[in-house]
Amino acid sequence: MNAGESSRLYVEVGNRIRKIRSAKAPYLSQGKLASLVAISRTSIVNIEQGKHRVQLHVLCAIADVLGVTMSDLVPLKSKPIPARLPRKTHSAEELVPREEQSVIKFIATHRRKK
Amino acid sequence: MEKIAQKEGIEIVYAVLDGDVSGLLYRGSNGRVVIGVNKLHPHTRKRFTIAHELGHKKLQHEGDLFVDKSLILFRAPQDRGDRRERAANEFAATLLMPEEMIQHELNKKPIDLEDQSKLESLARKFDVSVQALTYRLINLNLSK
Repeated sequence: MNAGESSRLYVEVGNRIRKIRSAKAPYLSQGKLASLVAISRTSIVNIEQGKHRVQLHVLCAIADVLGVTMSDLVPLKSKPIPARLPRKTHSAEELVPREEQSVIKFIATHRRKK
Repeated sequence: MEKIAQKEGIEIVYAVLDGDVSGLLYRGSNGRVVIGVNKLHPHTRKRFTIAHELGHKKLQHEGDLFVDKSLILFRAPQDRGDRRERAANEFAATLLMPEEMIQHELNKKPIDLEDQSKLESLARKFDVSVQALTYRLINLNLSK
């Protein structure tokens, strides 16, 4: 797994947590979830954005509170992480979203032979 | 440079790429290889980009897509960095500035890196940036 793929993994994990959390009835706020797993609200915010690389025991606690299993929160290898770029992308440096978009656009435009 | 790449069966496409992206190498499923070059970049950088991306192909680096940003192109080799990126840079530098040709130009006299006008005229001869030339000279131990 390269740097881009592992970043996307955490983004995907965060997306899943947010999706499940916000669908909870009664509504489960980020703050409430944070206090239930005994971490700060900021940490939850960052975990949901994939900015903070969630630790295993924290993820375990989050899954417990959400009433799901850990495997519901982690994409399996056999199911590719929704990659915005081809999976075997190699980039010397992390691309900022704007750059990534321009690369995607380029590939989309030049995928087929003119 | 473009012709060399085309002889290798690579399509060269000039397009506007955002930010620092200087170029990319894209392998399609049917074996088609496309090099995308940021057309906003200066001429010498475009040449280096094509040579660098060609390096990824010739060195048989695995991957469907290589995206390269400006900064990495001129990273000094002693810096840690991706092995494949360094290899592609070295490939590009060797292709654009063959050692014998530089030796010939210098006439066995190492060049003073402070001598900006000399560097500029040599860079013009090889149609590369002064920066790329400087790194090449340092790597070849031809500078003082």
